[in-house]
Amino acid sequence: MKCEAVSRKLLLYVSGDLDRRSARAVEEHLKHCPACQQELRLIKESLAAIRQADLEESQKLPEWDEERWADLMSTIVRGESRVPGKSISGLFSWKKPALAAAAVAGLILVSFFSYHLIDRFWLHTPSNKDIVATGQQAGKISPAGQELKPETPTATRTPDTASIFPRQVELPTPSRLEEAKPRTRPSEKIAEAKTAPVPEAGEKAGVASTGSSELQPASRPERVEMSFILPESGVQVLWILDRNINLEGVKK
Amino acid sequence: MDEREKELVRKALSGESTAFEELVRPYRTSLLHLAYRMTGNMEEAMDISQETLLRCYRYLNRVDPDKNFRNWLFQIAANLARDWHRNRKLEINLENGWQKNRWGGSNFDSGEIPEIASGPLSAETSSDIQLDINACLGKLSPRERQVFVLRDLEGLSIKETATVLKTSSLSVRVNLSSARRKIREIISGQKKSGRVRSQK
Repeated sequence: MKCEAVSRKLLLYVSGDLDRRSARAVEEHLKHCPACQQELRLIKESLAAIRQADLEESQKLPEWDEERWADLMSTIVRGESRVPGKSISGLFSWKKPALAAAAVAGLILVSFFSYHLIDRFWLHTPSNKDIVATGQQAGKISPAGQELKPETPTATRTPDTASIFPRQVELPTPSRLEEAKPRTRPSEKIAEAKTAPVPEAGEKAGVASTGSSELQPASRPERVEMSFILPESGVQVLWILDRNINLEGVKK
Repeated sequence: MDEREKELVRKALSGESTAFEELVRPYRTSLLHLAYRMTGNMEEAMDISQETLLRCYRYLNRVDPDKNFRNWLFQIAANLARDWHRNRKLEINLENGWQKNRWGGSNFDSGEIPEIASGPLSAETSSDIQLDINACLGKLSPRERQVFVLRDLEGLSIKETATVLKTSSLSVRVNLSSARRKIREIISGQKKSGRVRSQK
């Protein structure tokens, strides 16, 4: 075997990664070739040097920060975020109070908008402005297609809203439930409004709608509060949904 | 995978939150060091390690109980390091292309990766360790580097290295030979210039 071929095989021979036959051939060559013996020694020294350097440097490499490790494990197991350094819990940590405060304020703002949007377009109930307006225009139809009625909101809770609002400040009493006026769906109301007589001031809505079998008692609380705590950061988010406060934040 | 690891995998899959931490904790240091050796950058190594652990958790149900768990972790890390090298090469090609175009050239395909910068520790340890290991590893191609780190620094066998890198034993041998030859030339050159202390 020529030295050139042996020197290539030496690169694997040095760690015992050659097959037995090739290894035997290399050993035979090495017995009579000082140049290849020197080459083998250089390869061994090089590998020993780099392993030694790796070992020494590994001892000085930074270890996992225990706090970061715990955060990573928590994040992975909960599946909240991919990178702990950019995790949700990191955003809401007390190390960034301004960001946390802005996030809470944003949540409150969103809750106000959500509440009023639900109020106007989903539940199809008259807003405070409508209610005020209906003091003079009872029985008319609002631009949004809602009936304007001389009513005041009562603090009752419908089955629908019960699932949305877990805690309410002002729970209805049975007597108030009885007094609560029945409410119809907008389409029915529009149809009825054209035919039904204008109710007198102070007359209850239930009387104005005169006993339709499809009428359903429905009213919602004046004020609902919800709170939850982010378990990792300890930030408590409080939602206050007050139907007497409009989108501009002005209380009627 | 030993019985304890199998039990921890079973517990982690059943939703026991502490089991996963217990499972991977023994390998966290070697994982971080492996990623560091493959990238030469501690920040990247940390990112790769985190992503490795995340993927490990995500695909824990696919782990083969008859195989070495550490090697499976290394396999994920090696894949991520390979992707990192690819992205880096792409970025460097784009940068080179942009610079050449800017000065009148038009070659976007140089494909040449500059030497990876020495790690954050090289400066502070240069007095103690005269051999800059990251500079040596930076001379290797990404594949050679992976093979060399796994075989020569982490001590995996040829077969294990091939499994981790999802390649053949022959490919590992070829890349290992090439890597060792380059390392030997670098270190011999440095010894001649007196930069590396002699190993006894």
